[in-house]
Amino acid sequence: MSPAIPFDQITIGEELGPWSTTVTPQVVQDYCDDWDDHNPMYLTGTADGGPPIVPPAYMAGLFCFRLLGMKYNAGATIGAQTEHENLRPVRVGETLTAQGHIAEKYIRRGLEYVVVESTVSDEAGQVIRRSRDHILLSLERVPS
Amino acid sequence: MIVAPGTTLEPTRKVIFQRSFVTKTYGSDSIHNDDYTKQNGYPGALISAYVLSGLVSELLVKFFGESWITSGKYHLKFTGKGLQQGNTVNCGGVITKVEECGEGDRRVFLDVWIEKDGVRPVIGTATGILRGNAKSKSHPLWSGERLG
Repeated sequence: MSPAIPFDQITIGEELGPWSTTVTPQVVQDYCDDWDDHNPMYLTGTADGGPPIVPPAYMAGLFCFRLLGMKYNAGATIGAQTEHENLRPVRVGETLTAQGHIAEKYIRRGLEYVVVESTVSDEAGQVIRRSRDHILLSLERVPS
Repeated sequence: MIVAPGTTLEPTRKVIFQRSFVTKTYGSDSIHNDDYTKQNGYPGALISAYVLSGLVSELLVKFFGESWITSGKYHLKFTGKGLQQGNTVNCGGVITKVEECGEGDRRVFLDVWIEKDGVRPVIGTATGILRGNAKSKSHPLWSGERLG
């Protein structure tokens, strides 16, 4: 069982966030370098003459931990499953805001999980991505 | 490329890198801590879901193009002993179904994975719209309205 997150106290429907971050050109450059993915769309602009856009997987599978970490000590958590639906592009330089809730919690093979459903919105408040993440709270098993 | 069930995407080969492993120290109960994960039967600190999502996303952007950003969906599961910093992996996919959705567009369904030494610690599914050529030219990713 997780020593840091009290599984019994987690409530289905519990709201998480909002949590915001600004996607600067430097952050995008770091992403491109780290993933060795220098798609011009992220660095110079789109094929139709639009401005550079944020990589669609930016913070995908990470926002959920930021949201959970606002309420709990999420230092020992692990991503078990991650699911994303891309809806809109977002321009580099914009601030993204994530918010979500606890959608489920369950125990499987003695391990505790929560499911976080979240959305990420641009500065205009338009949802750019919907996500659903299964998070293992700890490698420590529930005593049998 | 023939877009039909059974067609395999050209895989991307990558060396995994997670910046935070270089820039910060993780707590003693973190799966990003080498000692802790080894004590729990893993080969070493586990790479985060975020890094692995990005690798799969790159493969899908290459296949779907810009439409991935407005139509793409994917679901990944992380299994087994995970992946570690510096691992060389292949990210791949195979088309499982294709549906015509009008005006030359097709919704394509795939199985996707990340493979290391014949093992797949990341498996999942993905779907997106593959635009017909004429339509992609007349439907820009950005509109003037969006840019303000």
